[in-house]
Amino acid sequence: MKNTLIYASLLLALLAPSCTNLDEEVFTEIIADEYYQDKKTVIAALTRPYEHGHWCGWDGDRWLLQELTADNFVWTQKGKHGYDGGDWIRLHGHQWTPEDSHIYGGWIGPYQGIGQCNVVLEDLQKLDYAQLGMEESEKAQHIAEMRTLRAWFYLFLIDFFRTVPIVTDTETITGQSSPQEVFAFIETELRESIPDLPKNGRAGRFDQGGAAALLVRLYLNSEVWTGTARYDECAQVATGIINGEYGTYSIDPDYRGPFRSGVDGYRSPENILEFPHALNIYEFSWMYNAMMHYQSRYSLDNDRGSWNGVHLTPSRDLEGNLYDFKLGMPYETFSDDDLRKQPFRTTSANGDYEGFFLIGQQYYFNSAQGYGFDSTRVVNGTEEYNGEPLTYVDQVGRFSEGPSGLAQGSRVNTGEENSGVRFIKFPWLPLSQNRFHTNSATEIRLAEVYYALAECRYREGDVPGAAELLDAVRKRNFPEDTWPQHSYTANPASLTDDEFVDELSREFLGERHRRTDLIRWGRFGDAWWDKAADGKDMTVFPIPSRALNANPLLEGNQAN
Amino acid sequence: MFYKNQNKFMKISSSREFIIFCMKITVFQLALALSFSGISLAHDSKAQGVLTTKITLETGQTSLRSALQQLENAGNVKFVYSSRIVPVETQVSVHSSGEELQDVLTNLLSPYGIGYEVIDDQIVLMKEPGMIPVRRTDTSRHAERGSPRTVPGMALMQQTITGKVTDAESGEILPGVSVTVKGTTTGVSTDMEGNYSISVPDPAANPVLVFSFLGYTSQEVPVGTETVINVSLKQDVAALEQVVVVGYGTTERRNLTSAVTTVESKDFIPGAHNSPLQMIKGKVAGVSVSNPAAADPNRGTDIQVRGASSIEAGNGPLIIIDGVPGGNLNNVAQQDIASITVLRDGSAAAIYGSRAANGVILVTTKSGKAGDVSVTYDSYIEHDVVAAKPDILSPEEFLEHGIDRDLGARTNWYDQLIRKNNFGQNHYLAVSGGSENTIFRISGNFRDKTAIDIASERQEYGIRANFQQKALDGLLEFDGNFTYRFAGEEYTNYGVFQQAVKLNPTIPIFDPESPTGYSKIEGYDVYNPVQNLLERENGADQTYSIADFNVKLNLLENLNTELKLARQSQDELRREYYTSKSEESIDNDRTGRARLENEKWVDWTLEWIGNYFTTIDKHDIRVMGGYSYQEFNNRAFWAENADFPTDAVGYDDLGGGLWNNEEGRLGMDSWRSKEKTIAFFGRLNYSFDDTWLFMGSLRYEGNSKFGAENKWGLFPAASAAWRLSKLPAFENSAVVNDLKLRLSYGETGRSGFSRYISLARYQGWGRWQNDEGEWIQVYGPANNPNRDLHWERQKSYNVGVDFSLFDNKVGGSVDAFLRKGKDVIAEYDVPVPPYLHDKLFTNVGTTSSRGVELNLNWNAVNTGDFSYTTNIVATYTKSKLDAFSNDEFTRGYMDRRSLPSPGNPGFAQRLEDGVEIGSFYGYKYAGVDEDGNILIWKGGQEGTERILATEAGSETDRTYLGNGSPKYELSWGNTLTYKDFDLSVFFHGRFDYDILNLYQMYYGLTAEPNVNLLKDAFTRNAHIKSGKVITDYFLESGDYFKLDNLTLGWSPTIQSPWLKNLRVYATVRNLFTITKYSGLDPTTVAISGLEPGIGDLNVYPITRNYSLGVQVTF
Repeated sequence: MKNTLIYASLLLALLAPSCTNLDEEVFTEIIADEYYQDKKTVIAALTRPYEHGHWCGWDGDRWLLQELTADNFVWTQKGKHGYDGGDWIRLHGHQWTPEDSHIYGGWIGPYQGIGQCNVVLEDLQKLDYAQLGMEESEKAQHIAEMRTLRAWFYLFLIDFFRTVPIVTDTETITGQSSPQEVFAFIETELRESIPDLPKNGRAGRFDQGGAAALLVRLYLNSEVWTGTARYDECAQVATGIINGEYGTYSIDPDYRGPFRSGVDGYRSPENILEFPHALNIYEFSWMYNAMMHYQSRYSLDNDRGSWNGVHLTPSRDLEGNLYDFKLGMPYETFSDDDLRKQPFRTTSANGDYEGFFLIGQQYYFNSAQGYGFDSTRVVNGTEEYNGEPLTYVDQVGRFSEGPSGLAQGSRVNTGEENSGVRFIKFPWLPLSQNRFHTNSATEIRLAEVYYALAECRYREGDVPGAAELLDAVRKRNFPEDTWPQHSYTANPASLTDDEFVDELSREFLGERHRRTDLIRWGRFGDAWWDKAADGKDMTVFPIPSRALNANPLLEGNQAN
Repeated sequence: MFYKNQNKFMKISSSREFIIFCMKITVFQLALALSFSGISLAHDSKAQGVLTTKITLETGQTSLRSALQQLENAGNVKFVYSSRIVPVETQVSVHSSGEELQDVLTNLLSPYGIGYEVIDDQIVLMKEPGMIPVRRTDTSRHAERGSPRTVPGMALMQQTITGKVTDAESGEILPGVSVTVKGTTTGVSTDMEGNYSISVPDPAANPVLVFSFLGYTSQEVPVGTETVINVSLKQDVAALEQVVVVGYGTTERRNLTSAVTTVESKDFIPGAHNSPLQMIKGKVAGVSVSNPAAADPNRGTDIQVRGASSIEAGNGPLIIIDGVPGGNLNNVAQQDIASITVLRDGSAAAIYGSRAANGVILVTTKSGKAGDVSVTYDSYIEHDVVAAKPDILSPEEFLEHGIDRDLGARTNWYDQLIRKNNFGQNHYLAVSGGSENTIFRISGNFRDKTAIDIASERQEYGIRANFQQKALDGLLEFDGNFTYRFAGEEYTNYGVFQQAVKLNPTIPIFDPESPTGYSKIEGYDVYNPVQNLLERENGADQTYSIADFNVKLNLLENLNTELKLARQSQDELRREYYTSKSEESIDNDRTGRARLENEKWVDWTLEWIGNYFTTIDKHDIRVMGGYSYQEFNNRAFWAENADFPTDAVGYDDLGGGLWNNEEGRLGMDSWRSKEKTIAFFGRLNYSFDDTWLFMGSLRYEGNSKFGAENKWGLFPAASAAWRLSKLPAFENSAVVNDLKLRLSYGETGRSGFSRYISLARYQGWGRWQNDEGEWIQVYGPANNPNRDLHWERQKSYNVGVDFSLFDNKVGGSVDAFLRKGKDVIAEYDVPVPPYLHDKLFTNVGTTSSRGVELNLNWNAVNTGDFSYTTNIVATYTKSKLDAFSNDEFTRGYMDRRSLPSPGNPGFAQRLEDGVEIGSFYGYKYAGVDEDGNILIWKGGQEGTERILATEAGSETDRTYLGNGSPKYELSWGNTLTYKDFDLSVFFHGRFDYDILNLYQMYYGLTAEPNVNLLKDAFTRNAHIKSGKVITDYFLESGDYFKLDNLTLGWSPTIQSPWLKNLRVYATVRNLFTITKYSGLDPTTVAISGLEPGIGDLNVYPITRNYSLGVQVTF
């Protein structure tokens, strides 16, 4: 027995190392330390923060914070749908709290992107590009791209929260910096990056034009963000962009051009940064889901469901009369001859279409001819108008309930399934023609630079200079015969503050600009549809409670 | 393919045919059973009757041997004797005309000094040894019937007696049995083979051997002239002496020092079950067995031991089948299970370390017995009927209230989804037997069930074989289990039952104008539920197998070592096909969509343990130590395609579809993962004089999932018990037969979360264009790696009392426990950056649960013909989150269970520091305003200001409203027998909890437009005109008490050379429920886990189940 025990102990001692090995074996993913192998893996890592950036800009909370807190868009409650915990009522009525999940989204979305840029930056700096078969210049470009993209993420944060942590590594938990420090950080990052960036780079990647345009955004809002106006620098960079110092861009002659970039291989010369899409691969899906009706797929020829959520704020009251708010009423701020105001319809089988809105009676797609609508087949509603024609109206109210319904008024919570004009500036082209989800998300276009420069001119009192710049873009929106009525150059007196704010609304409708523009123009606290004037300054979002809870170094900002 | 199913469904098309079909099966089963019985039911073969048998026999002069043979025939008895004692050649004669056998025998044998005794239906002839007749407690009185005459004992010198001790019932050998010579200090123990050898000092003095073993009735055997004495020990009648499987071994129930409950197969809840765990529902205090869709044959049962304590690391117990941890109960036929043991407290479970914190369930399957080959046939048929339907508006009422248009039809959607002629059958056959060295058992079963809904089906068959083989004279023992099981599962969609409630009841099901033949129902989250279920195939083929092989080396009588190698696997082939007539095909303009997914799980187990035991005087010591290695492998792939040329091929020709041809479509994926657990463990059991009992154990376990520096953990446990009944005060007590106080402490862990969480990984995310403009998959950090991730640790304290009173008529136990969860793993908000994701999977928080458990049995009446036994199992449990924070993370709460669209009313529950798990969080209802809008109390304080819920309600107005976790669970079992009949009546209830009735919220308010509503919308809730918000108005008491099971059985006594046993029984489950809950049935609401008490909208029908079964042993 003694021997047996000895043998057993020996056996155990021999087996012990292999019997106690608990290293993890990974199959489907890659252990981080073993990730970078070649150019392919570098590019795949470099593009991950961009992919996140698209989500950050065009999927949900950031868009909602910019547009639903402003005067152009609303997510009404439509009967049993869309109460959503009162979120939309609070965003529209400027009654949000630090607990609001969308405000948290405004925090976490950009910061996740910043974290990803930081990881890639740390990784890239350690890599020997030559060994991976790449040039050192590529390394410099990649690093500059990550710094620029990171600055773009910081622009969300300074705009939403002002005092935010500047984090540039992957280890340190950091407290807040002042708005001035954040501003300076963004400015330095962009200025230092521009030389290493290419001119007119790939779609979906930052280049010199993109970085310079971010400087324009930064300087244009400097007064609000830091208390110091920097319109001169704004104008200087904007002029440089327009003059081609950062790459070659031009205003698209067609009002649809910047938004149909990507379709059939078209790339609009106006788009400085656009995020490309491809059906089944990378889709513009949130925008479709948030705005389209459940039945939209029948008129737009696709197979997607949607949420019937966001639409334009109404221009008309329950009697059909125009409201007299100074802000909002976006549909009716377009003049009737504005090409953009036309109802959306496809006009050929080649991907041509017109109009930026869905309004009135909806019809089935004309699949026989491959474009347009089949006026014999009415699309019906499924909720309040179940079995009855679906007709979008520029009003919000419980029309389906008759007088007792209308007595509830026109409010965020009194919508119906057909409430509101639907926004289709980003065109949903027919699936059957393989054009669905092929248009890019237009992040920065030259028009923005024109308008920024115009604003600088206007603010310094150079109204003709501003008018000229604005007209250079606006001309494409009108038929030649009526253009003279609309030209600011021809009618300089018409270009007032109010007009400028309306013109910003028309030009950048739904492009995630509106809240920032209203704040810069001092209009964010004003009244509009179903929203009273703010009792206090609501131009800064509070630091979200979840972020405060997660980071002990954080303190609330002025809005907390 | 769906046509195939439809045919199955249509096979029995009317209820009349169905009844005839059932009758045929029943008659067949009965006939089969009875044909083996010989219909000799009336004969009573009880032992005491033998001696009074009237004998009519005339032998004439013959040998005693022949006379006995003739008596055997005449009296239908059997004599056992040794010709060394009985003078068989002596000439005798028997003349008997109707005298009783005992008188005949006395007359015949007493002249030769031969006495007799009836033992187990045999008459044993023996030397009348002077003073001491053979005594056995149950038959001794018969021995005195003889007229013993003292004759001198044979004068032999010192003699060695050998023999083997076995269990009288199972025939299993009994090692460690104490064998002593009465009145002396001479004693030995049986070895691992149950053999003993003892020297009897003075055979002439008529020595008596005393065989004693814990849990068995002691037996005294006079040596007489025998040199080989084999003894079968009978187990003590009281339940306390039951042998209980514990981790890595067994112990006697009376020696337990911790809270362990075993339910034997004879005590299982009878009837047709969809999961074996249903058989112990309500049988084990502290164990909550529930299933919100109990009638779905493909849904597993939820089981929770002593409440929920974990946030992310799983709350399900560790299942161990025949010693292999991590088993899958789907692989076991319910008839194959011999017992289910639950290790409730931490000290018992700690031997299983990191996976044991939620309790351990040990399933032991039946094994063969040496001796005659035994054949068992066990089968039942079953049928479900709907027990309760949602009380919705009829089409007329729907129209009367003007909810929506009249579309012409009068459709009862719910009834359309019900398969009235559902039917289940389960046939099981087992063969077992063996010799001294070889034991085997093979069983097979077939089960087929068409469920209460028109889609669910399950068909399974499996075999299980086990063997035990001894070699080298018992030095080596081999045993193993091999199982293979196939299950074909067809799934339903619980969502259709929500549709059945809310759909306009005037919509026709079928529309001849529609290309599909079904009515097209347009709108948000509505669809034709009949079409949904019939125009698709959604199921899986499951293949399960277990092979385990053990070698045991008996080094010494009291030292052995055992090596176990086991492989368990599950291979799942998921099949989905949506026909060209399915709604998704129409909506997406596709002709069919097919998907196949194959996922495999393969677990390997290697265990090596050693056992040593010894008895020194009154000290009994047992030591066990071992090593365990387990690995768990998972891999899968799936592929899908759509746009098939025909519905005829579907997933059997995935390449035939056009859908995947389009650029950008992929339609496939695969993944693989692996996890390892390694452990060293040991246990010491010590008992002194059967009075003081002690157990200590230690497990050192590592798991690959944890952070590099935190892979290993130590799990100690200790428990002790004091048998108070050994105190002089209780000696010869008429009241107390056994009384034991137990105390225990144990540490266990949890690791039931995903793999690779502690590791920094890169994974593929979405797509982006590369420098060449091609779409590539981007790669980035997959997770917030947590290198510090370590065990979720639980400390458990238990104090308990086991008692057996009033001549063992009353028995039971009471336990009180406290469980403290520490380093509880949860996803916690972390600052981003430096973290990349806003949640980190980390050890944060503490939980606690406490409770009291009572188990009480009373053998109330036991007369010859009638007996009544009643049993109460009662549990009180309360679990709370002590803290959701630590030094680094300080949030203190987390919201749970976001209620669904439409409307998204928000989160229904909140977990917060110091708050009970399952607490509802929302507004306090304060009536309605004049327009019927729901008002709430501002600040959540009753008596303050009433404000409008939807417009003014804010975060600060929310408060705690109630709790969804039942505090009390009670079951009451009653068994009555009368002659050959037995009746069991089983009640079950849960108390002191709330249910958030989502039906009332979503379909009980008139504000919900265009959907059919509960009648309550216009009665009970008529005053509310506004939409739903989470308030206590929708909270209802979930308390219920139901007659859960009623079984009537008939077990006729059968005298037949072949048939050993016959039992026919009928069971009804879910007879009636006493409750105030206005939903379908409180048992349809999940009560386990972290979000208990939320009455879902997708409720599978609650049924009453009828089954009829027969069990025959040959």
